[in-house]
Amino acid sequence: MDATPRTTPRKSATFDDYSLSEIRRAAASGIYDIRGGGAKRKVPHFDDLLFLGASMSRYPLEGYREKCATDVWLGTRFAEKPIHLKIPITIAGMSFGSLSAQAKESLGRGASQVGTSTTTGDGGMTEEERQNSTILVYQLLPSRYGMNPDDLRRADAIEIVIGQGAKPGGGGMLLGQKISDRVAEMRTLPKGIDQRSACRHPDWTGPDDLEIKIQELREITDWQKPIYIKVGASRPYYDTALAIKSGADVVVLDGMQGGTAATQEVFIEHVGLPILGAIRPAVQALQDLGMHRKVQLIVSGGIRNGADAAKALALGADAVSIGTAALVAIGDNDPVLEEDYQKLGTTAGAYDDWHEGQDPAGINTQNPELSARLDPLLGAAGWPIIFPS
Amino acid sequence: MTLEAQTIARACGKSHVHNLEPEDLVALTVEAAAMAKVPLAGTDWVPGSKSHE
Repeated sequence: MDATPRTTPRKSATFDDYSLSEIRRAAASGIYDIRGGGAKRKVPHFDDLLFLGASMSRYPLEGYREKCATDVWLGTRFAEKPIHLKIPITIAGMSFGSLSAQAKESLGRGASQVGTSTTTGDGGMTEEERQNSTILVYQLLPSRYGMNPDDLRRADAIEIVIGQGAKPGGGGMLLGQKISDRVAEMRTLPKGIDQRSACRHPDWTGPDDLEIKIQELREITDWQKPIYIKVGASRPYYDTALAIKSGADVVVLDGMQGGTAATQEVFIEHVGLPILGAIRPAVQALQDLGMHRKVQLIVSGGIRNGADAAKALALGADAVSIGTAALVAIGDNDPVLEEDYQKLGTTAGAYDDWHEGQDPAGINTQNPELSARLDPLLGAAGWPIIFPS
Repeated sequence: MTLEAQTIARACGKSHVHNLEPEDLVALTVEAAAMAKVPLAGTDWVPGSKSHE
């Protein structure tokens, strides 16, 4: 009898199951993995912070009787018509093209109900979202898809997108599967062909040129609309300082947990900062230039609940933005769709192949049958959407 | 979400959510303390702060 004791089988912490499966996938396909969403790895986040409630040395306020205001003004630096939101939580930019028109309508309705803004995306402004959004922020992106002066004037604010947290320094690609007739028309490009979104803007190379571009935008809109600059978190101190220098009214800072429609997995997980590490340097830049609370700071990337929002505000932000959380609220990755997710080889909570356009929730798709599943008033899971009020 | 943020702000004695400040926070990990520039819970240590050099 061989009685030699044996060690238990041991898997590598470095070559873990995910890494092994990715090596096999890459070896078989020869191409990087593309997916939607933000960083999935664990990074330092707001859960690593705690509030010190009042006790002897501080005086708390009564929950149901004493007022605690939540409103925020955005764009008070230069805009003649700054935006006044009832809550410090806005809906982040997500494109029509990536999202269905129903999803855009749903987000606009939800934001309007609670007195906040929603944002267009890389693909222009749809009637659905303009009609259903009391306050709509219009994104000006490097691709210039759907960009025109009429929509600039129809917007309540303009957001110049330099980058996003999931991929600072990267552009994007909307695969042909999602380029329907309507998406193609809005982007003035052919149907069914992959569309690249550039990684940098063709109209300027740096903050000096951007300053001129911002002046143009102010002239087109008669100096009325607030102008935001959105950056992915990488060098937040300098990026914030340069955004202020360029003439921004508002700086939007997006951490690596912030989602994207479709990007290389390696980019999402290995480029950019977690939002926790980006807020203080940005606030420091605002303070060093005497602009804290004069140029407003909106932060995003992994905001899930009121505690995350409160922590971001305590660190010096004026407001937060939600993207993934808003999609989840309208039914993304909902367990009621588990059977459909299983058919796609995934599971509720893990589905991220949004670029393939087969989203059973009807959110990340241009397939009319799938998008018809999403009732803009009810969401994909079929219950009335009560937005994060 | 807003109601949650308000609940926390009131507990910290604030009449506007914008009155929350870094002094209301501590960190559970050294990494978070360094990134958020708030003290590690139960200490007055902010990693990287010059006052302790």
